Amino acid sequence: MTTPMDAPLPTVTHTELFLEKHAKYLHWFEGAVDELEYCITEHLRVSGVYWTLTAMDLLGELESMDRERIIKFVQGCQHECGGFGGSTSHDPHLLYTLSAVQVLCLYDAVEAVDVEAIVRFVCGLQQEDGSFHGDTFVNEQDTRFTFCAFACLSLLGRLDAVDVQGGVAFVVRCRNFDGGFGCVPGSESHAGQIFCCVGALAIAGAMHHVDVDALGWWLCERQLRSGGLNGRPEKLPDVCYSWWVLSALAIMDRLHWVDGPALQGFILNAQDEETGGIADRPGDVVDPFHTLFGVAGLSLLGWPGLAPVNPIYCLPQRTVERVFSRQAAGAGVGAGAGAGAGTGAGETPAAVPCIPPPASSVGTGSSAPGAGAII
Amino acid sequence: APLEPPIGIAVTMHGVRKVKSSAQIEAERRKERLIKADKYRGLVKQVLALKSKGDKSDAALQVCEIAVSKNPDLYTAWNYRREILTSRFADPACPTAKIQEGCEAELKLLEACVRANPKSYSVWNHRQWVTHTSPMPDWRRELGLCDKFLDLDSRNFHCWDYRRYVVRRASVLDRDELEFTRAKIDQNFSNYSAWHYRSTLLPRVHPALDRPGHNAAGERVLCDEFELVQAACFTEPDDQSAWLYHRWLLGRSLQPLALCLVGQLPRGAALA
Repeated sequence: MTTPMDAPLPTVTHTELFLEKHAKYLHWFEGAVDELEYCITEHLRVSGVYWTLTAMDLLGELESMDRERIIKFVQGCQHECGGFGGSTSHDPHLLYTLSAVQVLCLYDAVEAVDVEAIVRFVCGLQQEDGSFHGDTFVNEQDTRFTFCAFACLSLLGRLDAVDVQGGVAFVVRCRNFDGGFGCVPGSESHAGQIFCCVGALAIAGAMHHVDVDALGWWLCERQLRSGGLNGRPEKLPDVCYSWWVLSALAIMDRLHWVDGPALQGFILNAQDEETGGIADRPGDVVDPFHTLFGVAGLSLLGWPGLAPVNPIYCLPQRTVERVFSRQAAGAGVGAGAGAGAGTGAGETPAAVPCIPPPASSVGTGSSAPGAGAII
Repeated sequence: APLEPPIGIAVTMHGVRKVKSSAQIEAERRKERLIKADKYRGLVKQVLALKSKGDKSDAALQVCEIAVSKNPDLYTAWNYRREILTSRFADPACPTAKIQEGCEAELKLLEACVRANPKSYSVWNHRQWVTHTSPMPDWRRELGLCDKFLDLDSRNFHCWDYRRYVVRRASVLDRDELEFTRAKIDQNFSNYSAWHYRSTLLPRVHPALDRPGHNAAGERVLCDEFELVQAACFTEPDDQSAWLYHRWLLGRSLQPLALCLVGQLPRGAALA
């Protein structure tokens, strides 16, 4: 009989969030241009910028970043076709196009780039079966790209430009026996894909396709004794799943189905008190990616001192509210406000839920249908 | 020339233990990493420069090969490689044999890349592109590759997805794949990926499951599945795969309600 896979007991435990150290770490990483970790991630730099900026904003430190230089860098990543590459001269791809739009939303500088071209680029990637490719260079369909397309366009107020129902239909074809979702029809359920699909369906106003109780249970079963969450059964817990599982649960209004305090403990233990930053699990090397998702997960759990985060867009809630109220105010430019079936141009989409108040988000596991329920 | 060793785990950002050693060793390691970083940065610059010039030479292919060996997630280098190969293959003067040869060379490169990084989207995508482009793809070999990689890591979803692509292209029978999932489950009851695949194959191999009402064939299939799940639960009671599959089976055996009679009582009346 095997013991379930879990992270080893941490050698050091933490009860506080080292906010200043994380900000310092992110600053350090940004300037560490000669370091191997920095160079080897050049191809996803725009996403790296998004992770860093969002984390900094949640930590209340966005002002300390160089806004002008960053906007200039992002501008330089846009190609004529409208899409953005991971860095200057890297090929355009939907993943980096979303990250670019997210960065520009943070800085309220969307007009710094060619928005129409972005819309054209994203629309051009939708296939006949409703799915989206990631780029024009390889025939790769994946529900991640459906999320990227919907999120990108809805932030730009142009969700109407694609076949939303077609996109929804493809996502539904990726739904599995356990209520979860995979990359393509037939793929195994995976927390990252589930976040993308639930997020996409929320944006499209199509949450009725989600069996929230079945999927909610599958998701809260990701929690292990260490308090951490894994991405699918029999896998190690990872701080990034603290985001993808948690945000999906939040969208489904079942955030209280995980043991919040236990998860908080896991994330806090994954901090590196020496260098700042958060790793995938306690004892591992930190990086900006896990620093963002650790901070974002804590924000969802109501950790004091962190700005509220929006579970669909993984941007500060105030950023998302600003973007959508701006769209509502500037209504009439032929753009819907984003939610699926023809909401009036003046509405904030119902698909952008507010953060539940802290009391209900940090619940105990006892309110969830426990694993014993089916016996 | 042998492939350059990949830079490896630094890119994936997962599972990298923080190891503290003496200041001297730290300094040495740091120096090594800085050199690697500088080399890699130069390589990427080269790839992008050649690409912007539209260079389609063997030298360009070679630079791409070295770059993706160091970092298989450098997607622009894979795009560039495909661009060069596509233009060569599209040349009417290029014989089919040459295209086949080119594809075989790609598969060789990919095998080395996938061994170094079995979870890189770019690597599996490129393999799919090659087998799609190849004049005579060897689907049997592709299936064998999937078998091998699933033996190494039975939960690698890239490999499972690639397997399903091969199965589709090669018209492998659902029945055979169902047998394959059984073999994987027998090897290890904790194989959620196999149970998942089984959940998609079972209704296709046994359409009786979806026919409404009582039917002997459907019942028999379900009973067999319940036996399999029970065995798994007894052997690995802490593993959730069997429990989740079990819940799904229970859902399948629900009989739909049949309406026999609908009536309306007159207002004010009550059933005695």
